Amino acid sequence: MGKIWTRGRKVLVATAAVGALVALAGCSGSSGGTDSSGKANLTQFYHQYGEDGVKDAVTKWAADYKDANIDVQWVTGDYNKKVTALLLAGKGIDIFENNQIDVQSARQGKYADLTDIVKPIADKMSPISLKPVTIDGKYYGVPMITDPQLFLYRKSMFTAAGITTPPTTWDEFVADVKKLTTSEHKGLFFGNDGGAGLLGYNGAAAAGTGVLNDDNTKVTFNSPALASAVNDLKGLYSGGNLLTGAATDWWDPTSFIAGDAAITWQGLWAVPAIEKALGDDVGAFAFPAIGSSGTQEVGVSQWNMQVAASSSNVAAATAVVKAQWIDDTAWQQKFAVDFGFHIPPLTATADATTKLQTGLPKDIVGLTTKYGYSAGPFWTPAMGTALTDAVTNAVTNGADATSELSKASSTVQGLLDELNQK
Amino acid sequence: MTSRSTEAVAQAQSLGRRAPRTSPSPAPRKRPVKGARFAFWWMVLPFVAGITVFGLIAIVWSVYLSFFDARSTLTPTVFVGLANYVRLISDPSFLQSMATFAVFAILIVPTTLAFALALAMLVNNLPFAQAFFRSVFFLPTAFSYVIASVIWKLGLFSGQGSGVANSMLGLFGIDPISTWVTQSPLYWIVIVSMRLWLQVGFYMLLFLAGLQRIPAMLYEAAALDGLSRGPRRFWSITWPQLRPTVAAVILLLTIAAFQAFDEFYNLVPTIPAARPPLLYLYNVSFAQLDYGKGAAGALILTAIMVIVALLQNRFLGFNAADDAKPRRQRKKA
Repeated sequence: MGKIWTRGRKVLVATAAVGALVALAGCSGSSGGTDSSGKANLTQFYHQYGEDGVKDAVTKWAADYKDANIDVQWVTGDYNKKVTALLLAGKGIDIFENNQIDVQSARQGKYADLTDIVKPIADKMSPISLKPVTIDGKYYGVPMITDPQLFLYRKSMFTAAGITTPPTTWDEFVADVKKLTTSEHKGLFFGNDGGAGLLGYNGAAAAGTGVLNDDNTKVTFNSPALASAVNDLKGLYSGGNLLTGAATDWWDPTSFIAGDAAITWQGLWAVPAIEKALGDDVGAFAFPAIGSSGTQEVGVSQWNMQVAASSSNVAAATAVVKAQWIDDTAWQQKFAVDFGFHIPPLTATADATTKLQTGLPKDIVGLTTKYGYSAGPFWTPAMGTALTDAVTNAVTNGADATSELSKASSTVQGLLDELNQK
Repeated sequence: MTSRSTEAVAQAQSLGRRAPRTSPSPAPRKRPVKGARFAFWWMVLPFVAGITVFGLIAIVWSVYLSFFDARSTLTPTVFVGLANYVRLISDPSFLQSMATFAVFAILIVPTTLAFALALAMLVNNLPFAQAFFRSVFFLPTAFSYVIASVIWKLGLFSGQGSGVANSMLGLFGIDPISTWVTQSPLYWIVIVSMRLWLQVGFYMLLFLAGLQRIPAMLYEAAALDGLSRGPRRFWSITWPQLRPTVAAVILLLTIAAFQAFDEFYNLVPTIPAARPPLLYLYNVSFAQLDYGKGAAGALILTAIMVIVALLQNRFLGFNAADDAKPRRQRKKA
């Protein structure tokens, strides 16, 4: 009997070993090592851009790059989770774009430190673009594109409602949204959730507090001004002034183009499609100032190119990032305006991008320079969820705005303290 | 049921437990076929490999992670004892997710039970095309939750006037509703109707099997006593005879509700009051990247499910209806 068990156990152990090897082999792509001519084999990860042609363009750039073999991975679905999993596994990933640089991962050494290539050109980049890549004084990514988000409106609908200039204060804005609501269209498309996901973050900036203080130690979004704005939004939601239940959410311009709402929250990326459909009937304005100490705001999100510290070719990968997103300004201009519109973080490149220097894009770039806001990497997705939950509870569930914001504030402070423990 | 099979059932019933059972003693030992052991291991190898890599290792690793500070890492080094468990249980979002599960279970379990049983009885009494209708009602079980979510969100319960639900409301002169998936309790209608459609066929099959196990002679005897149809016949014969099936169905439905994820993730991802435990854990693990807390949560949920299953078996018992005696006495016998 003993002999049989030994054999059985041997088979089990062998099975487990084979299985583990198969699983590991399945995880790795063509990353790692070099080819016969000594060129590094690299993988480069992109999320799925909504506009046609982006995939072909990035693949072509990679194929044209002479100093390494770049295998472009175009990820559909949940991009951030896929990248996180690969970074945790520590293999199969060399270069990747990221719009959520994670403080913990940076401190744990999962990202290669790119300070050496970013520092020399840091003063040539728009200041707001460096905030998301800066952790503990080091640069962990090269900003690729800056994506401003703000309000776009239909000029003809404003005229029909007797509104001559776009609102600059929250109170004017709320009054205008009510005036703009007719039997034909709603006043505002602020996301299918009634704006809960957008008001907290952008509203905190517009109330003058921002979500975190400058040294990322205190949560600052909880203010009477923001609570009052949340209550106003609750009124707009229950009053039927908001477009909800649209087939796609705010980042897709379909509903706005169809004329379902007079004002929409939107990103610069959608401007080509909107201008193509609506011509010059579209204008832009920043998130209006909330309360007496408020300021107008343009939300800025950003994609950054990073290198995995676990890459077996960190130097070659860093060289690719530098060549593509620092040196090749022609490519950066092409990427910024040939598909959806984005702002190149290098200011000289942005200035030289002619399509961003006229009409509506020019207005948006100007507003972004003046009012752009980014909370930076210490504002994590978990914190965003806590704030959004508070606003959701107040707007759609009838909870008290002040107490919801206060609860969320202490939750987020807890998360921030945990983050700052190390 | 034919008269022949009725006879067979009657015979079996009369024999009952006194009938001699097949002997449990082993068959006379034969010499093993050469190479059989090798063949055995070769055939179970894929299964063993799969369960080892994706099951056992993952479980052991989860237990390990749950005792460590595993934020943004799967190879943590800082031992924190029970801190992850304490943080989880004191997290209001976790408690909210349990409340969400309770609401969902209260809505979905009785609804599915009632619809599945009603469908099973209808199909069981069909004089023809029984197999056809059985298949028709079972088909949605093979359907993807994600695709169904898209259909429910964009087709049936679209916020636009053209959505099916809004068109129906329009027939009664009611204004279209644009907040099907943002406003409570409207989103529960969307979520419950979708899961009902997807799973009712499977539970209908379980009930059909249960119904076909009920000896026809019971109904015949009842008919002789003047009880040939109606609710009394259902409550006196069908329901008690179905008790083991009902117990199994309730347990399976509760477990399924506890594991709900897809429709909540796809239909109402931003609503804090509609975030069941698995969605909460998913966010903790993959948005907050707190694998220690996530692992602790997974183990707590597993423990809860095991306890529920044990309690259910204790009180409802799968085989309870087979025996007129209470379970405790039967054990002693």
